[in-house]
Amino acid sequence: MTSCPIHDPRIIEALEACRPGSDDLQDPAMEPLARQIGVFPELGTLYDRLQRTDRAIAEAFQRVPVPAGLAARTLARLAAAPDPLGDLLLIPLASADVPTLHEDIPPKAADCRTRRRRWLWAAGALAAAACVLVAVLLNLPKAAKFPGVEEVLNQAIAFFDRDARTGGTLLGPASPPPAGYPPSAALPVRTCEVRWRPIHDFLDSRGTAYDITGPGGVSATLYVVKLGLPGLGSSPPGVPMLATGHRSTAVWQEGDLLYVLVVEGESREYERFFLELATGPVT
Amino acid sequence: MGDDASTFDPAQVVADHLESVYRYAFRLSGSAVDAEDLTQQVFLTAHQKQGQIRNAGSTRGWLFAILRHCFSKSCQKRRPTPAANLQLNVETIPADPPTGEAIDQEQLQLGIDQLPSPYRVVLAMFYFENCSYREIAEKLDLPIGTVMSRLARAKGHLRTYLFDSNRRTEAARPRSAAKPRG
Repeated sequence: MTSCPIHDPRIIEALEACRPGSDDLQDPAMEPLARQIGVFPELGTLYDRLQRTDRAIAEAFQRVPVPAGLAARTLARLAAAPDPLGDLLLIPLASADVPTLHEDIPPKAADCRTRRRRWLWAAGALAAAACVLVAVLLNLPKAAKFPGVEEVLNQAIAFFDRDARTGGTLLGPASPPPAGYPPSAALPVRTCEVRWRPIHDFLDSRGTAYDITGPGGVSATLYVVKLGLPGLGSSPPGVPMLATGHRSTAVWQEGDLLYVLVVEGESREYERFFLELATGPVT
Repeated sequence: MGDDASTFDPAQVVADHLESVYRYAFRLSGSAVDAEDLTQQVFLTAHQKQGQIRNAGSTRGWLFAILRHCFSKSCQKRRPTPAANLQLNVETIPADPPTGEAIDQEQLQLGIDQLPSPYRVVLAMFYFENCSYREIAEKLDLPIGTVMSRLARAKGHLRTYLFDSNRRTEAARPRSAAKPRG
């Protein structure tokens, strides 16, 4: 059982993503799970147990009593709401039928014209407001567009996965870091081998990546971009903020610079990386 | 029928989909009052935006999408939900899984209620809508990795609540370390 990968987050996430009674396991993305099930019978047993458990939970999810009279109350509320089509209904009038004097206009047609004018004014006002809103949004600082810390962490892992992480310049007195994107003051990398290189599309921004090999051999990349993300700490946490797919990551803010660290490995590698920065290699 | 945009009949749509929308709303909100309010909001919105229905047969999914939107909006108005313990734990998978009827409804809902709303939505889409992780990612416009991570954590948390009485108290305790901090 020791070699069975049931503690591998990727395998667990894949196991959990398979719907009961589906052919999700045939999905090409599930191939690693299917292969491991073929190798480890205990994983197959776990898969079957999870499928049966999920089937029971899915069934229980549907078992909610519906209150009496809900349909009647809902229909009554719908009936009280304005008819969305009725409000926009315009009665077409042929030119020959258009009365020349205002008082000759039948009340219904006059209502329609008034309503039409009102809608045109409203549409014009809305269009103008939309233009102003778009202009304001386009001029907002980039950080305002960020969906949140979790999305930044996910994007960092995705970037790390497609990042070749080669061709950097060895950091040293002869090749100092680029101005404006220094390594983090909160990350003591003096005992590490560090290579820096420019990056162009990290979180839609330019910046610098520092490829770090820790004293004990743990690899990590520190991405630095000029972005502001509200509410972040000013130093990296001792445990990763997100660990998934054999990547552990954290983000913090130092002044106007956003630092995102991606460590190759799970939480324990992340923690080891920081421990070794402080104490040297852990044997 | 209510599945055709050109013949949208509110009464028929309500008759066809009210119960499933209410059940879904109850699982998301955890309260009968909130679920009824959400359900009525869904049908009102559907009534106002009936022109958006594109394909016959898509009404149910469209109503569920409106429901998720209404729920997310209602969550923004409330205080933030504390992050629950979302540790992955495959040991909570029972060796002898129960039937759906044997699952304690109160514990099920308490377990769902403990989850932050983004996890609750992913969980409900998996169990209630029977969506695949790819469909969830597509409908919520989220990266697949985020969906798989949330799904695994939410399911693990729910099973802890349902099947591990010793850890139920621990799972219910807010724990900021389980959620991205910042």
